[in-house]
Amino acid sequence: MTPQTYEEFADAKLGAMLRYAVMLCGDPHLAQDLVQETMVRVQLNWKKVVRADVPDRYVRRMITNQYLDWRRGSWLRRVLLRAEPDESARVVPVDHAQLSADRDQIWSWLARLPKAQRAALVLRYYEDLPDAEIAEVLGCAVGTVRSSISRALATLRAEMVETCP
Amino acid sequence: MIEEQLRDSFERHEKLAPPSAPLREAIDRAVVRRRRHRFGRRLAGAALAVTAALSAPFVLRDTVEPPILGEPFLPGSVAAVDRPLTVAVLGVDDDGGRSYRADTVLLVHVPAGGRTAYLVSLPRDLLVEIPDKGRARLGEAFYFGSQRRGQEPDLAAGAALTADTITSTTGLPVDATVTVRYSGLRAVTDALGGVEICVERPVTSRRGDRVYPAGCQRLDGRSMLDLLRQRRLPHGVYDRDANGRAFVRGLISSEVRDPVRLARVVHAAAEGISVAGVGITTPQLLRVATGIDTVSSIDIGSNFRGVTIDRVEYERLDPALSTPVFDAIKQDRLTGWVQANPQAVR
Repeated sequence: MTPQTYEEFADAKLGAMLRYAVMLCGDPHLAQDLVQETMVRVQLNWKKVVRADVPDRYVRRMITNQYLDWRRGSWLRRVLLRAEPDESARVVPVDHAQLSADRDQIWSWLARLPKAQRAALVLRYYEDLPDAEIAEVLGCAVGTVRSSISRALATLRAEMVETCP
Repeated sequence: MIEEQLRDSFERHEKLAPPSAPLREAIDRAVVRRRRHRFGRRLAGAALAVTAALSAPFVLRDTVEPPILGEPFLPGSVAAVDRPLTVAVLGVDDDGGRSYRADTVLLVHVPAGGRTAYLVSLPRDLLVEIPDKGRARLGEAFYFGSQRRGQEPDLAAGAALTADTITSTTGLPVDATVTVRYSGLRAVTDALGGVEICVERPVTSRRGDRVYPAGCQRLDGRSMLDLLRQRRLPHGVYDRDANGRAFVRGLISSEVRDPVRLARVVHAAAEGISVAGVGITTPQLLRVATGIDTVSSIDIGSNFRGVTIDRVEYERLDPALSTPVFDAIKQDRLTGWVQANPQAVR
């Protein structure tokens, strides 16, 4: 069922969006900023969002673009984006989760991948989307999706061989 | 097998996701804040649409990404106006620095959700009742408001009284005022390397030393000011107001791709232009006037309805021409009105 109002959408999807953002950036704080910035825009432009065929995918695409753009933007924009932090919304992550995360090698290798490759991996192996939809979210061709996924997997395999020969 | 490990790793890290309830509240607070800003930005956008600063957004659009406005995913959403805006642009000329009168009173109206700004000029000599002051010419409201005994004139107070007078005369709410000193126009024109203006009739300078032919010409700040000040024209101040609107149109189509020059324009605009009714500075405003694409002027009459009371001449509006426009503005249906009455628009 497609949500009719922003509230319904947030009720149903906010948690999933947060998890998606965590997979993308690998950091709960960044993920929170990412989702907050995106959802503010979603709410301000709800009419436009709801006109999309699948609002869910549209918002996911917004988050992805925001993530890909994050450090690419001008310094000014970065300063402005970071200029009004919302202290009350800061969440301290659960410690043991963070610890186990640190111990997780795959997770740390993911951080070294180019962002677009990581996004493609998340969309395929976490969101389980078919390649056509991944292409849509990333705004690129299906072929590009496949090649960036195989390149990312190759990098991870190489890392693995290096660590445990 | 690496695929399996990836899936596992993603799944294990779901725990990292922060709780959504506090974030939800933070989002709602940010939305309220941003809506407020957005309204201010729109006020600003409408105001600047007719000032010298106008040229800046077009420049910004071409050269640099406007910083806060970059909405890469929903282009066009920035300028959608939630409510109509009316801004009074007051062109003031000083009498040797001692007193100011508004020579030009230009209303800029942006309908809700619109990207077009409509210009309506009110005659400077319009017969008005200034609140608590009585009968006067519209341009004098600025003088009465700004005059301070033994002190420098207070331009903000002049603009405020003029806005009140406009509201009591036309019934239109004024959301903001922009006061432009002629020195500001001159500086901006020069900073742009001259502005092209298209006049309908030739204009002869009062000193007779220069004739500006009918048609389009590119003028520097000094000449532009000279042209805009002339009112010995077939229809007097009406023609001068028409020239003022022509200048605004010229500004809008000015293109500057040179960032250094842009900086100069911004600086020049900040010097000669003051904006009231908005809680932000002129340089901030410059960034945000990107919303308006086109400007067109509405003619509410060069039909003279002069009246002389106690040997002072006043102008009056022709209600047949002005009332429908004012009503359309008040009811926020000007866009439709303009479509139905294309002859009124230039």
